Amino acid sequence: MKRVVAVWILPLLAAAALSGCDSAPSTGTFEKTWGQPGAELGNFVKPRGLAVDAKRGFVYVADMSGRIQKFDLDGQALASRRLPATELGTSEGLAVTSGGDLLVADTHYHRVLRYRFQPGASGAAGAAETAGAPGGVWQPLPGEGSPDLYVIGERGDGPGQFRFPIAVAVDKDDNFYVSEYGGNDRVQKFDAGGRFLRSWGTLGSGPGQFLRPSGIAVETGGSVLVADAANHRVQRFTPEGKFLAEWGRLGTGAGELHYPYDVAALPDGSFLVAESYNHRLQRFAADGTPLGIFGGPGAEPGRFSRPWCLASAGGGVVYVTDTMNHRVQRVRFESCQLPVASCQSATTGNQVPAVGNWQLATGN
Amino acid sequence: MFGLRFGSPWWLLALALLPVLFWQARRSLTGLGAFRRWTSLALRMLLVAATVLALAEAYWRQESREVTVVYLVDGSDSLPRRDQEKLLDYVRATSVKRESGPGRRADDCGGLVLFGGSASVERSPAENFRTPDALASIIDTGHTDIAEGLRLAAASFPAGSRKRIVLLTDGVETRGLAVEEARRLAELGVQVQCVAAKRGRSPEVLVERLAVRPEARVGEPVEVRAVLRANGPASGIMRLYLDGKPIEARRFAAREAGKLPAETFLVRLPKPDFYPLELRIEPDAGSDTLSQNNVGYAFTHVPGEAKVLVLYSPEGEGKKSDTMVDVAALSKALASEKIALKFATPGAIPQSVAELAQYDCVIIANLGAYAFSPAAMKAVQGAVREMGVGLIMIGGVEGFGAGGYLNTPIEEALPVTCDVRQRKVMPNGALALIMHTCEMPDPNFWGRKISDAAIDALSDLDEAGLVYYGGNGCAWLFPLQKVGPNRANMHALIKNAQPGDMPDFDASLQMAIQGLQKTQAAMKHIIIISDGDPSFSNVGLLGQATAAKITVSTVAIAPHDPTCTGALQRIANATGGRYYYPKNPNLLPQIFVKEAMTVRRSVIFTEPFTPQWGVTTPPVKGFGGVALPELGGYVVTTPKPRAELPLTVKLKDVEDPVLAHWQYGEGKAVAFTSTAAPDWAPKWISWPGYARFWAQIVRWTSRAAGSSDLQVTAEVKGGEGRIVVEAMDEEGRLLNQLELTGHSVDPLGRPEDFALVQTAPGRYEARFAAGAPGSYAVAVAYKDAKGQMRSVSTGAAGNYSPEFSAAEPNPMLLADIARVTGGRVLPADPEQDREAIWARDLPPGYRVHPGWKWLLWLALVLFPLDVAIRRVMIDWREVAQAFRTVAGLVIPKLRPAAASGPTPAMQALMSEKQRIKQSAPAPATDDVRSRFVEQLARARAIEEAAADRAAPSLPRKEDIRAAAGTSGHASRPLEIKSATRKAAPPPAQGISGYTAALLEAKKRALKERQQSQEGKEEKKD
Repeated sequence: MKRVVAVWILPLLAAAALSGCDSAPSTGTFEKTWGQPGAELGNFVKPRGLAVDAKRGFVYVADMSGRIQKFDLDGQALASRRLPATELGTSEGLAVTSGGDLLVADTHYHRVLRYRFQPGASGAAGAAETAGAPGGVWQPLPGEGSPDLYVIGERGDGPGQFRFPIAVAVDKDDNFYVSEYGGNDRVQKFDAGGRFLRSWGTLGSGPGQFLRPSGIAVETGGSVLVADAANHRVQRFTPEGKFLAEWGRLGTGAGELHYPYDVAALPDGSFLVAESYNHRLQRFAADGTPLGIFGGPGAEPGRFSRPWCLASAGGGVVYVTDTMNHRVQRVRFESCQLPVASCQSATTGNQVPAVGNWQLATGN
Repeated sequence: MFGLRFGSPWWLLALALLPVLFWQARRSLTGLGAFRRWTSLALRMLLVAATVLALAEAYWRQESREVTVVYLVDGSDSLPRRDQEKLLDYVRATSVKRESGPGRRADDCGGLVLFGGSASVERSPAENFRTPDALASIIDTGHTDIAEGLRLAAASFPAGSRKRIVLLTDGVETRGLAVEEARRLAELGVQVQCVAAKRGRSPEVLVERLAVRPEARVGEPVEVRAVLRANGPASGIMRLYLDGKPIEARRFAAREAGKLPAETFLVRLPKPDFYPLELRIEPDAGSDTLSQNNVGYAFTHVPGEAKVLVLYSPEGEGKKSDTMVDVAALSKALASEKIALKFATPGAIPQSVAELAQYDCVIIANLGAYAFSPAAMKAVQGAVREMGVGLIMIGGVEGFGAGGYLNTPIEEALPVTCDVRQRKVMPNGALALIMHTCEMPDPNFWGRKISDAAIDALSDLDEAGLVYYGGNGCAWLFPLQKVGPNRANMHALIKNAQPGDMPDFDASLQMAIQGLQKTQAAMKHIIIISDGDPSFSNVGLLGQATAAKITVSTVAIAPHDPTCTGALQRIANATGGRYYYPKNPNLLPQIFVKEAMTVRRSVIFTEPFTPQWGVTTPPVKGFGGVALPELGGYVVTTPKPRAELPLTVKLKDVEDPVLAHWQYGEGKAVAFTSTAAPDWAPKWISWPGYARFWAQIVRWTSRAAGSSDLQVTAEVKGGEGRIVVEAMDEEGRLLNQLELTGHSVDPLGRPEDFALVQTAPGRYEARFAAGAPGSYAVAVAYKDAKGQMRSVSTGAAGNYSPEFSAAEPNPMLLADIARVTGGRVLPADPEQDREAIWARDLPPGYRVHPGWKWLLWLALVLFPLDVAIRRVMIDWREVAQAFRTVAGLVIPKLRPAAASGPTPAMQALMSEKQRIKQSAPAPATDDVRSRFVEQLARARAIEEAAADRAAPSLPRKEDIRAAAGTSGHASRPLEIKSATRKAAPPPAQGISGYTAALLEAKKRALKERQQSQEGKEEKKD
C-alpha cells in the first residue's frame, strides 16, 4: 500500500501542485446559490440584471417580474422594489456607483434610472435622512414621486438619447457607460452628473461595430470590455472609445462563444464572459487567451441555464444570474499566484504577456 | 327549574335509573370503607345524572334586554343625492347613544342596510355602530325593491335580540311586494317603523311616452306620438330619430306642471325593415334635473320580402390581384328583381344567432375567414342549421380555401370542403414560422395559439416548419414537412416548446430561408412573431429572400415597443410581406389565418373556362342547358358527398364544382366558387340572364319570409320583456302544440334565447330580461306543417327605468308596512318622536346557551374519579409522611423526628425473638423451620420409642401427617386418628416452649382419643 502511494500518487500530487495556475482555479469554484422560481421576496422570475456593491455588501438583481431585489452578499433578501413602469418590458442592466447609487438601464423606456443610496437604512430603500439630488443632468422622475429616484435620457438617436439601453457600467471616477441595441448599437459615456462625454459604435460586425452590445465591464486599467452578443465576440476599447482588440467566434470550443451576454473584469486582469446559449462562463486572460470554462447546461449548482449577467464583487468572487433556473449563483475564481495580469494558459502552457502589450488576436 | 329547559325532555325518564343504581351499588360496594362507599355512590349517581341531562339537551335561555335597530335606507335613483344625504343625517341623529331619556343605550346594537333593486349590508348590526360618512355598498340603483331590502335586513339581525327595522324610503316601489314581506316579518317578531323620505322640489321634465303603430306599410306615413311631462315651467327642443338618424326637431314649452299636449310626427318608412325610433329632449338650462328620463323609445316595422344580408369588405388589399369583389353589380342585379339587400362590413358582422335570425339569407361575398370572430363563425353555422337562414358563399381571391375557411364552422355548413385532397398533383405552399415570444408573461400560451392557428389554416398538402431559440440557440422545432400526416405532432411540439430569448433575427431568418429554398412548394412564406426587439443587420438576407420568391410577414406583439420602426417593419417591407401590430392579442389567430391565405393562394385557378351543366336542380330551374358565358377563374374546392352540382368545370382529368348546393339542418347552403366580380367574370355582368340567375338562387336559398300563421306582440315593461304569440292558420283554426323558440337581442347587442310556453289554445307566451332602455329585436321561429322553418320578427322598445319617472312618493305603502308589523310612520324630523326608534316595547329576544358540552365534560371527569375512588388505596399516613419530608426539606422545623425507636408491639416481638434465640441451642441454621423440624424429629423419636413399647402397630404416616399438620392450618382443630396412643413421655429438656406446647396438645388429644375409644368399647360391650 505504501509503495503504491510512493510510486504513483505522490508524484501525481507533486505534479499537480507544481503546475502552478492549473485548470481548477481558472474554471472557478462554486460557492453559493439562492433563489427559486417565484415572485416573492427572495425568489425570482427570470432574473437578468445584476450589480454588486462590494463596499457596502449588497447585491441587486432585476428580474422579469419588474422588481429589483436587494440582497446581502450571501443571498439574504433585504428589500424589493418595483421599477416605475414595466408594461413595455423590464431592465437587463444594473450597475452601482462608488457612492452606492444604483443605475438601471430601463431598456424599453429608453432612459437610465438612478436610485440614490440612502445611508440611514440598511435594508429598505428610503430612510429618515435622504441623500440629496445627484446633481448634474439628473432629474427626479416626473409623476413617480419617489424621493430617491432620478432619471436621464429620452428616446432618440442623438447624444444623450437612448434607444433600448441594455447595459450600464461604472468606472472608478463614477463615469458610466451605457450600451444600446435595436438600431443604435453603440456605447455612450457619461460623467457622474449624467452629462454626455462621447459615444462610439455602429450597427455591424466589423471592428468597433456592434450587434447587440449587451454587456459592459470596466477593467482596472480603465479600458472597457463590451460583450458583442450577436457577433459572438468580446471587444476591448480605451476609455476614449478607440478600438483595441476583439476575441471570439461562434462555437462551443475554448475561445469560442455563443451569444456572450455579459462580461466581467477580474482583479487579476483576466475577464469572464457569460455565454448565454452555451450556458457557461468562460475565462480569458488579459490578452484574450482562453483560460478555461466553468459550468455547462444543467440545473445543479454550478451549472447554468441561460446565464445573463455577471457582476464582480472583488477578490475573484463573481455573481451570475442564472436566468432560466431562476436563481443567482456566486462563483469564486482564484487569481494566479504569478504577478497580476500574467497568467499561464491552460491550453498552451506558455507564459502570456501582461496587460500592457496588446496584440490584435486574429482568428483566435 | 331555574331557567333550565330541555330539548329532548323524554330522556329525563332515564333519571328513574338512579334509584336502581343506588340499590345495586350498595350491594357491590360493601367491601369498601364507608367514606369510599358513599363517595363512590355519589359520584356514580352524579355521573349518570349528568349524562342523562346532556342527552336531554339541557339548555337555558337568557332573555336579552337590548334592542337591535337596522336602518334600511333607500339608495335607488328615484331619490336624488341630496335627499339621500338627509336620510343619512336622520340615521346619524337618531343613533347617538344616551345615558337616559329616549334613545339608544350602551348595549343597543345598530346596523345599516342599503337597498335599491338589490340590497347590501353596509354595516352589520353591532354595539359600536356609527353612521358611515359615505356609503360604500354597491347595489342596483335602477329599481326600488323594498321587499328585498326588508328580507336582507331581517336576515342580518343577530340571534336573540329585540328586532326593529327603520325603513327610510320614498315608497316608490318598482319591484316586489313590500307589504307581503312585512307580514312575514311581523310573524318573526320584527317591527318596522317607516320614515317617508321627502324629495326636494327640483325642476324636472321627462319623456312620458313615445307611441307608434307596431306595423306599417312601405311608403305609408306613420304617426308617432310623443308625450312629455314636467313638474313646473319648462322648455327645450325635442328631436326624433329614425333608425339612428335624426329626422325632425321641434321646440316644446310648458307653462305649468303636468303633461304637455301630445306632439305628433309623421314618418315615412322607405323599405321593409325594422325601425327603432327615439325621441330625445334637450331641456333648456334650469328646466331639468335628471337626464336619464329625457329619452323615449318606440319600435315599428315594415314586413316585406326576404331580407338578405351581404357581408363583404369594401377595401382592397392594395395589390392588383387582391381587388375586392364589386358588390354593386350583384346588388343592382338583385334590386332590379325586387330583392332588398342590407350590407355589412367586417366591423358590423352579426355575432349571434339571434342577430342573424332577423335575416332570411346571408351572402358572404369574397370575404376571408379572418373577418369572422369565432363567435360570428358559430353564429352563421347555427343560424343556417337551426333557424333555417340561407347561406351563399361567393368565391374570389378570398373565397373558400383561399379565404382561410378550411376547418371552420362556416365550411361545415357549405356543400364543399376547402381541402383539395383528391388532387394528387397540386401546387402547395410552405410556411416557416419564426417564434420569439419569451418576453411575454405567459410565453408559451401566445406562441401556441398563434402557431396552432397558422398550422390549422394550412391544408394537408402544405408544408410547415417552425424556427425558435431553444436551449442551444437557433434551431428548428420541427423542420419543413407536410402538414397532413404531422399535424398532431406539430401541435404537440408547439405545446411543449420553451422559446428562449432571440438576440438577433439573422440566424433564424437564415435558417428559415435555407429551409424554404430546399422545398418545391409553389408559394413560400415566412411569418416572424416577436415580442421583443432582436437586432437585425444582415440586409443581404432580405435580398436572398426576395430572390427565392419568399415573402416575409412580421407580427409585433406587445410588450414590444410599438413606435419603433425597427427591424420587423424593415423586413416586411423589403420582402413584400405585411407588418402587423395588433393591440388585442386575441386578434392574433385571425392574423395568421389571413397570412396563411398567402400560402393557400395556390388553390386559385385563374384561367378562363366555361362552366358545364350537370343535373338541373331547383335553384337553376329554367337555366339548364343554357349556354353560359366564360368565367375567368375559380377557387378549387372538393364537393361533399351529399352536395348537388348543377355547374362544374372540367379541366383535363379533373372536375371541380362551380355551383354546388345542399340542405344543412333547417337551412340551405350554396357555394359559387367563381365570382360575380368584373375582374373574374366580365362577361357575366353583361349576360342578360345574370340578374334572374342570381335572384332565383337567392330566392331559393332564403328562408320563407314571415308567416301569416303567427301574430307576435312584444312589449317591454318594468325591466321585463313579454312576448305573446297567437297562432292561427288560414282557416281560422287555432294551432296548438307548436314548438316555438324565441331569440331576442337587447339594445347593447346581447342575445338571449328562450322557449315559448303554450298558455291557452293557440296562445304562447314567454318572458325575457329587458333591463336596458332601447330597442329589442325579437324573432320567433317554428316549423310549419310542411316541415319548413319559418320565423316572424318583431321588436319592442324598453324605456328608462321607472326610477326616473319622477313619481310622487307613496306614503300609503309606508303606512301599510308599518301597520302590518305593529309600527308607525315616523316624522321626517329626527328630533320628534325619537323614542319610537329605540323603545323596548318589542317581543323579547332570547339567547340560548346549550349545556350539553359542560355536562358531558363533567361526566368524563367523574368517571375516572369514580373508578379511582373504588380501586386506589392511598395510605394517608405515607402521604402525610411524604409531605412532611418534602416540607422538611424546605423548613427544617418540620423535619420529622429521626426513627424514634420501635413501637411497643415491635418491642415485645423483638424481645421474644431474643429470648428464643438465647434459650434454644444455636441451631445449625437460623432458619426457624429447620430448627423446628429438627426438634420435631427428636420428639418423634422419643415418642416412637415409647409408643413402640406400648403399641407396635402405630401407623407412622398418620403421625407424620399429624405432626406436620400443626404447622399448617391454625384454625383446624388438631385431630389425631391414632387409636392407641399412650401418653408421651415428658418433653426432653432443651425443647423450646412452643414445641412444648405442641407436645402438650398432642398429649391431650391422645388422651381424649383413648377416652373416647374406651367409651365406645364400653358401649359395644
